[in-house]
Amino acid sequence: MRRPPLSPRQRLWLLLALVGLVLVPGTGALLHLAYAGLRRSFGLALDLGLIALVLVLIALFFAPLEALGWWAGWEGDQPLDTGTPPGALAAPVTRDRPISRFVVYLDGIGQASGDALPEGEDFLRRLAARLPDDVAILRGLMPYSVRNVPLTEGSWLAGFWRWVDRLRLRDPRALLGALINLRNVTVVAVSTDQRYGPIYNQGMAQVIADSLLAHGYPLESCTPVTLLGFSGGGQIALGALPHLRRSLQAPIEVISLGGVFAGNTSILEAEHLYHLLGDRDPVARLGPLLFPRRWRWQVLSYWNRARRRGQVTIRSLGPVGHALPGGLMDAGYLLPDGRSAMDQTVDQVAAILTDRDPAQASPRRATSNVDRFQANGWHRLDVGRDTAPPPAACFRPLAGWIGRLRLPDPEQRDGGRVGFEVFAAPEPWRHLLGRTCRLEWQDPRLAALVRDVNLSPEARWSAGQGLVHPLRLDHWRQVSPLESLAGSRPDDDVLVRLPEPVEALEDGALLRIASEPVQTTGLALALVQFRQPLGDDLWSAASYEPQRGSFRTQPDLQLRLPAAIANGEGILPATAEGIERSGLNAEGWLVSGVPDGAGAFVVQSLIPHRLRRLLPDRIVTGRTAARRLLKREIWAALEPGTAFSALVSLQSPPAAASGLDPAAAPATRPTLPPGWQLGDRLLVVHVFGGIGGEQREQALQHGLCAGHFAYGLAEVVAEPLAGEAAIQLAYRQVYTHNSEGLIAGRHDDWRYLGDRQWGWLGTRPVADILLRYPPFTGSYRIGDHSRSPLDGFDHQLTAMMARYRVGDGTGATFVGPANNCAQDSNQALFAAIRALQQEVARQDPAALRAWEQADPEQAERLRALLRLERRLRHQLLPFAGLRPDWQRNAAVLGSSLEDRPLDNLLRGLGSWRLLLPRLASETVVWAFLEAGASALILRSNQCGGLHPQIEPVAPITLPL
Amino acid sequence: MAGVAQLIHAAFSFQPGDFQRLEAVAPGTAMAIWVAVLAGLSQGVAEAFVLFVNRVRPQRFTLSLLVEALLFGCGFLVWALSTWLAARLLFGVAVPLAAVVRALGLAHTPQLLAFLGALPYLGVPWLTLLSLWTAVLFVLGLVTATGLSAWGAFWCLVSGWLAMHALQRSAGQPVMALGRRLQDWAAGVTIVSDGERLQELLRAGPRGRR
Repeated sequence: MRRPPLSPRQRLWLLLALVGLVLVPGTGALLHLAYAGLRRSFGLALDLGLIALVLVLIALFFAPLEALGWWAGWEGDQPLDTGTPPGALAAPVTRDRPISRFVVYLDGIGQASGDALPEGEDFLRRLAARLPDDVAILRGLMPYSVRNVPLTEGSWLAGFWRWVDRLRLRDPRALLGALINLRNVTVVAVSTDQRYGPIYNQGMAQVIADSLLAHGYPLESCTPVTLLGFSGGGQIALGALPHLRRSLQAPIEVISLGGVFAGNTSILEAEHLYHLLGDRDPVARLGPLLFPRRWRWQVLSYWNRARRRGQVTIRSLGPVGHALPGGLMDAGYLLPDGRSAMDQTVDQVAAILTDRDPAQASPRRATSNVDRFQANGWHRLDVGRDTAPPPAACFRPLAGWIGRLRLPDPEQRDGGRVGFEVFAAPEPWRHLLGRTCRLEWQDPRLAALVRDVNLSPEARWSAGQGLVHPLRLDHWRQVSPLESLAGSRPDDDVLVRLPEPVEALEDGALLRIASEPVQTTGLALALVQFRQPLGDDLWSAASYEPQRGSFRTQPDLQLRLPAAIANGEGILPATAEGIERSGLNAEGWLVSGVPDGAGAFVVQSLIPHRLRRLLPDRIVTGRTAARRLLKREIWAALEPGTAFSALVSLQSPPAAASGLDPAAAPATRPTLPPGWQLGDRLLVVHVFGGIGGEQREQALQHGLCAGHFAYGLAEVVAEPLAGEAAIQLAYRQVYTHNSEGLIAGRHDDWRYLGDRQWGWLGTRPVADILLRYPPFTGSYRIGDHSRSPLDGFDHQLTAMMARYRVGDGTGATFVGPANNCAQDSNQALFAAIRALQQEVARQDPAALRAWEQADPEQAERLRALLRLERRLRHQLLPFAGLRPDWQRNAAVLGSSLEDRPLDNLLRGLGSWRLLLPRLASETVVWAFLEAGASALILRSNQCGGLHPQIEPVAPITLPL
Repeated sequence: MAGVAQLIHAAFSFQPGDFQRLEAVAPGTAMAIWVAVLAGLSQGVAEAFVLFVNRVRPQRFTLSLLVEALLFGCGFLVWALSTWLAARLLFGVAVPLAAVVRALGLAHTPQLLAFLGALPYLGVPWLTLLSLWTAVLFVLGLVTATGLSAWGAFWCLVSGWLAMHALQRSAGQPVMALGRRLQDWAAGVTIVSDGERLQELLRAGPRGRR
């Protein structure tokens, strides 16, 4: 882009000079003298100029009236029903398949009738010929009338405008033709005005929406829309953008052809803004000069923020001007490369619309921990090695379907599906092992989560610092949540298990799932006890015999515990040193991994059996003791290599609880806490702390440890390896982009926690608090539907995690006061409870009363849930007014502190208990306990082998 | 009418030493009050979009503007009174109230052109400029009328303005409420004028308010 005519410094001096001129005594007399002199010299011309100026001011004065009158209903309460056709298709479109994109053309300020200027119509014909027939181009809207009434129709001046239009079409240089431009410029001024703009732009958004609907735009389909604005049409497009986005709930991009726009409307809501302008275009260059929001020092203006986020691409069209002759739509003006200016413009726009736009160079990426960890061959996926049978009968499959996600090439995208290289399959489908199927995640609610991805400069900068951003998805359109899961890391190395039900179609070539795949580690599980090191990373181990209730006396397994690779700070994620002497070895370890191809088993992930049993070390009841445990004791014991569990409830201990003594003989003790049953679903509140000691992590070098918060879902299942009930757990990680390549999404504990290369169990103190509270974790039958608040919550978290993966299209999420793991996870919790409340409120009161009488137990649970909601709202959202984004479940993540920094901080304070992960967990857990829940606390400190260079650090909280 | 035109011309080509001449142009206190009422009407036009956003019907529109002008005139008198009190109590200047009314009236002369604030895009900076202009003219007027220094006159102006707002939020509440009721009566709807609620109305769309 060429430099603007005046630099900011020059503009400042000019402004100061003008102000000085006005304030200096005697200026009035000087101006008077100057005027008298000019009048003597130019006489009539000067007077005519002044009269023209007065006329312009009068036209400008009355320009807002049409929009204001429309708003106020002065022309009836059906303001847009004018009988004017809402545009027309520029070319016929296919009827065989759905339209993939709608393009709405908004012409420049020369438009007077329902047609664009001749060159504009020519441009649209050529563009339509270049685009596939599933792209619909809408033309013929009048962007300079909020009622979509052309100047040449409707009003008492229509005859005059028709005459002027005819004159102008006959001779484009006719002076009177400028009247049309002048009239429409006043409307552009209305659109840019901070008072009238919201009204006018809303009206235009309605005109565009009506036109789209009239031409078959399917509502709630999220079909993308492109607003293509020439000259003043650029401002009209950007003005209508936020309103149109709100009404269509669809991705919208804007292409400005020599557009003149103010930059004061929310460009951030555009998928992308392409600004194409010629080097000789003086009109488009008025924008950066006239509109302060486009000046560079206005760092927080929408325009400048959008540019920093990479949402704006400014592209030069070479030596072309604005309008004819020599303008960007001049078919007779040839460029040095032999194309006409018109052909070049059509080429550029068609390339953008058909995804063939030359992508910007991929950003350079510094070495991340992902790159480092990939050097660990035992933790890399190897379908040949991994799919071999486990070396002994004591192993069981980790899940039915396990495989590697493969991101398709951009040219071979498959409607949001991805490849799934099968590593494990249930019996009838074992012939698929090693083959790559197509994986489809079918859920109508996912359509709202599809995003165009254009990496922001912040994301690029962050990638340069070694954080892992979805670089492979940059410039991809309509990225599905499944594609973002497969494409978040630099390579195809995401191993997932498919949650049931899995539908195998087309003889297994297509697998269909209904919920998000769970990132995991390993293919087979065993319960083992380490006996002694054998050298070369090998250990002898004994498997557990559930029938006997003990480990084999003699070792029957060889397990490989490969040395982990240190992260960028030199910290080893796990060690195996002295693991056979660990206090946790007595109860054994659940290990997950793959065969090593030489008769041993590679332990890729391990978790102390104690952390998955339902036998607590302690039982704590009563308000005071429970509070003390939750606030102090839980994080007081920080001895590395230890783990403990405790069952907490505010109610008095039931008699049966005494039978939970872990020291009691196995035959006489129950394996479940009182009231807990197989099949129970649990809400998991997870917090981890920091890494201290000699190798203190950098995040703690200059301050306290904030930690991390996440929710998860768990289930009480029968564990055949142990012959008793156990916990099966998967986290829902709302996780910002990071150096470890940890992808926001569902994580098995095998991956997130126990993985000896990628997990946190070996380096961090961890607390998982499992809440059993049937009003929240159970389900309700309301009307004809069965609803579970936990499922609703899961869906909200799934949506939040999908948004995090692509940073709402910017490719980056950053931690801020208003948006972070704890804040956004809990926003999802509120959204889920509110959705259930709304569903209840929608029911007919009489039917609801009948329902309460028919099933009083269910009704009582619902009342308890609503009490819990009030308690949570009171605790977590004491200043609800400060969090309007929670009230309306905002669609845009505040991914940067620049999103109104003060506002961001205030919003964060609106839910201040969620600023600290540990405080957030304490608050949520206490609210559940007070509501009558029971909680199983599972705490661990750097479990695994000895690691004397590091020490666990508890996350901070407030003494409340 | 010629007097008003002369007044505007004098106000817009003002020089510090010319204020006495400017005052000589104005025939008296009544003229100052008329200037204030007309300035209120002009400001009403500039801010008429508030009436449109509130969907005031056409026949009520003019009546609303007139009522606003009247209320503006009342506010003008309260401001003059509070400034007069500030001059007497804080600065010990025994100046006649009529002189303060005249000074404030003359200072409001530029506001006669406030209707140009309705111009799209240019209107808001124009109104800001006029407000600054009015403040400067008022300081000059007070300097002339009271003999205070420029800074003294400035603080007198600020004190009077603050006192007026304090009054509006305390003892003046019933009067303010009466004014609002009068406005609502003239408009035929409950007028929403604070920024946040106006934004809500705009978000709700034209049919959000019937």
